[in-house]
Amino acid sequence: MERAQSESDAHLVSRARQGDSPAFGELVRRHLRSAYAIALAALAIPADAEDVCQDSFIIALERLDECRDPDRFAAWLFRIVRNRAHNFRRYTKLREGAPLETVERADNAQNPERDAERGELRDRLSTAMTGLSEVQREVVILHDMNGWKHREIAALLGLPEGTVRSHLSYARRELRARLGTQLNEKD
Amino acid sequence: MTNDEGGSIDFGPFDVYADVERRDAAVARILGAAAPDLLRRAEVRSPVVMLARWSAPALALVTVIAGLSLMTLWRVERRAREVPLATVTEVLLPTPVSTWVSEDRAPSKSDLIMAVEGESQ
Repeated sequence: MERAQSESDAHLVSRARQGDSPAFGELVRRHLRSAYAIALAALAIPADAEDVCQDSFIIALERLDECRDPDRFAAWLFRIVRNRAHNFRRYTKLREGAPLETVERADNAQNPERDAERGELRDRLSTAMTGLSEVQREVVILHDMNGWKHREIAALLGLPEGTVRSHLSYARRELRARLGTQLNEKD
Repeated sequence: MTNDEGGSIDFGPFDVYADVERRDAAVARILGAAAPDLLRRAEVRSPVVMLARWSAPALALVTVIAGLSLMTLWRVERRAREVPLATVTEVLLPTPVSTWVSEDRAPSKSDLIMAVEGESQ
């Protein structure tokens, strides 16, 4: 496990190309959350984002030989996720800002009070998110949920860092305005 | 430049893969779906399979070439057998020579003189 975590993406890609299942599994484990965040930002529906995210890994494996720069596997994968999410949206003809679906959590039965509270926050957040554009959702989710840096988001979205900061600021302000004082803040 | 107005938003309720069990289940699902492709890749890289894939067309080609060669040899041999020796000697040798060759005897002096004269003419 430690060996797998210390291995570069390029090395894991090389092994996965030869059909090494643990290597591909490590790539999935390493990038699953980020891929999901990108799909979620594009689709705004967690269940769809999960499906698209998982499909994207299968497509990535099928096209693994086309990944010219395995050191930048993550960026290549995220492009697949974004394209897949956009195609999915076009296919299902989802409207921008459709209400977010309720997320089924695995720990629902373990702490009903806490889960009810989270469910309420999730619903409020879902509604608030519909007021943002896709790029604003991408920026705020990647930054605040996944902890990406401004420059990483800028590189992925092909935007100047200043624009990313501006989108982040606007998205946070809008979400707070919509959520009011009940919003949980990390800082 | 940035006005974050209070810091980051808590997206915890959306972060489905923060749950380790759920993440592991998703990884297992993806690996399950990827299994046929991974297996195919592993087979392609296997030396035995690579040799088999290379040797199959090569062996087929060798078989065709060998078949054609045998058929050609057989036809040439059969044609050669059909042509009588007398015809060959008649076609290729001057008449005086073919005479004592067909009679299966040593040439006399007069035969040799006739043959030389016939050549020179």
